[in-house]
Amino acid sequence: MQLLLVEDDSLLAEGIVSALKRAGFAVNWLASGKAACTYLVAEPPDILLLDLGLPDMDGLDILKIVRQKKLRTQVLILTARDSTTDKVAGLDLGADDYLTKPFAVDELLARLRVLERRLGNASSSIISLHEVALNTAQHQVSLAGEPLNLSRREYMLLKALMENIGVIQTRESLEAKLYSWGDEVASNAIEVHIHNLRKKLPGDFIRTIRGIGYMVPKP
Amino acid sequence: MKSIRRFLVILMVAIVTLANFAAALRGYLASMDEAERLFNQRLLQQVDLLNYALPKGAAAGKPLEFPARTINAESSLEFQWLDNNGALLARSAAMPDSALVPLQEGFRYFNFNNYRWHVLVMPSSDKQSWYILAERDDQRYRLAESMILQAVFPMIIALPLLALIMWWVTGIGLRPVAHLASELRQREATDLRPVAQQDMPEELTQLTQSANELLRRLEASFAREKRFSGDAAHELRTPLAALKIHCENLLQELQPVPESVIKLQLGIERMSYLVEQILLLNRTAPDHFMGQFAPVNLTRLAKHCVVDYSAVLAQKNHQIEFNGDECWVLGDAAALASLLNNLLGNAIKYTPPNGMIAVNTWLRGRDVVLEVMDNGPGIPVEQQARVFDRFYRLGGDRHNSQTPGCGLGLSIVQQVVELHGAQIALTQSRFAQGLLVMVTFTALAAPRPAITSPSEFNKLDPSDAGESDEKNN
Repeated sequence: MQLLLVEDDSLLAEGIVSALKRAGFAVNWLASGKAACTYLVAEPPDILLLDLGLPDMDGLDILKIVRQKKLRTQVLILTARDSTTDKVAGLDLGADDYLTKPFAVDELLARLRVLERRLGNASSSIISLHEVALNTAQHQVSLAGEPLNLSRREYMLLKALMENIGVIQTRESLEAKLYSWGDEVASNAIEVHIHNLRKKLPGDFIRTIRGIGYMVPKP
Repeated sequence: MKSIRRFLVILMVAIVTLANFAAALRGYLASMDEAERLFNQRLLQQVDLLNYALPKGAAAGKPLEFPARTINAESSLEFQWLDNNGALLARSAAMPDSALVPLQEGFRYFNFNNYRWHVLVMPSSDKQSWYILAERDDQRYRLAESMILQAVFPMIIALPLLALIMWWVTGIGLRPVAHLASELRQREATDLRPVAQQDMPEELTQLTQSANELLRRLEASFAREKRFSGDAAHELRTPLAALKIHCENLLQELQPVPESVIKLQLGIERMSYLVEQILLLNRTAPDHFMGQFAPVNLTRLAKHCVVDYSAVLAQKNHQIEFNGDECWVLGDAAALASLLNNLLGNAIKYTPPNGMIAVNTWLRGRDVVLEVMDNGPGIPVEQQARVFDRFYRLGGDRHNSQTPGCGLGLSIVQQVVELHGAQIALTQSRFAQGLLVMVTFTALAAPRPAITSPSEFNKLDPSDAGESDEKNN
């Protein structure tokens, strides 16, 4: 797993680099946009951590280059800009995620793990909590080592919840992940799937947030 | 206040009056001279008449008798008829028996019988006798004056009429100024477009140009200020991010963790929070709010805000729930999000662990009511008005410092409320105790997109989901 950090503020960059190294990531750091462009083309990293406010060029231009060259690099934008339009512009240009400064290391690591899993890296494809282990590469779930038999939608639902442990998932966002546009969705579809999942999982594994959605709480 | 119109009219009326007065004075003096000449001429004609009319052979010692005067004219003519020796031949009733003045030919003035008289002394045509004709000066004067005043009088009547016309005409003349003033007055505070210059009289083009220049500079300075808040955000957030990450690294690297590092982390968190709140306060200030209003799904936004607080909610083990209808309002999503975040953040922060929090959006006729309710300590009624003040915190300096905050949250909330023309009310929570904040917006009909995404396709009743699930448990 190769990470490239493009950040002009050395104080912040050094902090990120040491936090990431401790978490087991191999990370390179560049302070200028021009150098980053050269590096990106020569040796595309798996994940690019990109600051938008660079002194020599706009970070969004680097993002454009990544997408134009069709690199497989996942891009996580780190920025001090937080207005909605900036966020939309970044995501529209193909950023995979967006993190506003100042952020917690845990938050950064959690986002990186999601990106890592998207890359299909075997070592990080298993999310486990309590007795439940979800393998995103093999699309399998096991409880205390015993494989669980889940339907495709139940698996997707559990994956959505377990990829975001400790974060409430709204019913709308779960529906959007489970069903594509135009699908006929029964009004209580999500409730039915949750009901079935609960029968197969430990009692309080999935918590209901009334009127909002569901969450797999942190241990 | 000074008025150009009033000033012009008063000044012009004054000038016209003065000019009229000067002209009248000049005319009066000239007319008096002319009248004098005419009256003197008349006396000479009367001497002619006497030459014809008086009988020959009148002798001194037995003057002619005349009948009493029958015409009572304004101006009376008196006369004496004397022989060459000064003996009286005839006289009018008001005249004395002896010669009024010495017998020298010509005009002169003479005071007699309490009046001043114009006297003409002339020899008769046969040089045998003298005529003395006298007219009272005051009568003559009054006659002349009344004739002249008749000519001046209409001018005095015309003055007020003239003033009225001038008032009306200057009003027409100043109409472009009034137009410009009303155009500027009717503008929104944020409307900094230049004033249209076509059809502008040349006296006003300079002013309009200056005003436009001023508006342009103002707009530039607003843009600069907005850029500044963005720059400031960047400048402050980046070092804060560096501090935060180094502090977290320290926490990982030092075992056991020194108390100071934990305090340091708390301090950094408080500072980050304060910086964010000040930036939000600045960004939502109605004076330089630059956002664009668009339809916003308030219900979805509220749920997203709850999602963002997932970690803190779990940490304090609060029960949170949402109830209500799907509501749309016209507004700025970022500003509304900061309103929700602050209300929800307060509820989470000030409610003791294991508390209950409810967020609701209700459609009530043409209103949308957003409710954020908790079962925390609430706000005493007497302090409810003050909590919107900047940097005000309940209990002042004695505020429980265990709950970090800076006293800006409700100021931001109020600014966003003002920005959207909404109303905010603080009341008693429907839980056993606590605070209920109600924000009332004007409802907007939900926009109907041409293609519906699955999430919008299913209009779920949010309340039944939780209940059915609880039955399943």
